[in-house]
Amino acid sequence: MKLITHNILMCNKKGCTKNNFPLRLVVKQYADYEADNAQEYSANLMTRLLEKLDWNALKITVATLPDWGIALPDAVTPELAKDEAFLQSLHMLLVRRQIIDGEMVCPNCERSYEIKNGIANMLLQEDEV
Amino acid sequence: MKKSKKQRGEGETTKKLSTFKLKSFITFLSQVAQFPDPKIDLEQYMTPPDIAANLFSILHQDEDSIENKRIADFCSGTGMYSCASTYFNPLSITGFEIDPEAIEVAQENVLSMEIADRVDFINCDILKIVENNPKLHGLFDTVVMNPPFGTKNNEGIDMKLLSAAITCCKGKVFSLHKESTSAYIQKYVKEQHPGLEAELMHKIEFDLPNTYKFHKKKSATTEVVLVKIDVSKREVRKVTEMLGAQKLE
Repeated sequence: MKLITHNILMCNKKGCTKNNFPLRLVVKQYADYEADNAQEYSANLMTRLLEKLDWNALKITVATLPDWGIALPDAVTPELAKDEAFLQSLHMLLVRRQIIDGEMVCPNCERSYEIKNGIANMLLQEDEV
Repeated sequence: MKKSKKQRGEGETTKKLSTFKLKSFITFLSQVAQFPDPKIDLEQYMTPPDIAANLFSILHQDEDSIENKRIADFCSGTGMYSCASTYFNPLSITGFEIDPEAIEVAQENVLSMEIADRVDFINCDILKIVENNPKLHGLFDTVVMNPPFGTKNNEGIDMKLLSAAITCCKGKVFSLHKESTSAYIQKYVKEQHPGLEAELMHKIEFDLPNTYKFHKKKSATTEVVLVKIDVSKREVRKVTEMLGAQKLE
């Protein structure tokens, strides 16, 4: 599962409608694809990905993963959006990095959604819907 | 109302992949493993590789709905449509599937086909997640879907899923339905989603060879139709109505 997918998921539990995004990401295992094996980098690809991204949610999430050693700027300025080195590092983060095992925890109700074998499990129990 | 209804194989105006490329596409999709034990209540069956390859060639070449697009695969099953989408370099693919066993097979499929970095699968009840998650609304350029036909104690599920697909889409929805329900689908879309229309594109014959043990015949043929809904028309309509212009027809 990639961070762009985490970026669109919120808690679905019945009654949990506020402060339920972004889910707190706990990473137990991740893997980085080699540049040769992953979706090819292009400035256009990165621009298109950024269009739909909730940047603030991404920034908050990455900040809670200190061992990744990545600090994102507050906003993507027009200058940054043309900066090759910045876009390359985003390609690494958004395209090549896969979360294999972990969980996503709702900041409001603490409901945990498991990530196992790269699959996000957003299924709810009967009493949660 | 404009209707286009083409028989399979008749598409002389269709710009097609070269025979060679289509063959390699079919070979590529032949690696997608089936449901090991199809569940009757979920009406699980997989689109055969040759049909999927033809279908996605059309979506790519005639509809320009794959390359550089953000794609959702609703009821992704073992991943046939997600895998087919990877062939034409999309922006991203997200598969949504309720059955954990199917999604595990799907994940094994993309891993062995070495396309796991292109597809993310989410195990969820699509109807619930779409209802509760406004982040998904209007997010995807293209939604592809092979929903259950809503025949086995599941009546109306296909229409609910179609509505969910329309909600999450800002480009085009492509969905497979039983041919016998096509008039109803057109009426439903017109009523539930004013300004939109369901266009019947291609008729396909599905052989469902012994998918379920209760099938009496060795193989049953089902007439299926590819339905297209151009959701981008909704936006145009809104704007024109705001400007007090004449209704689009």
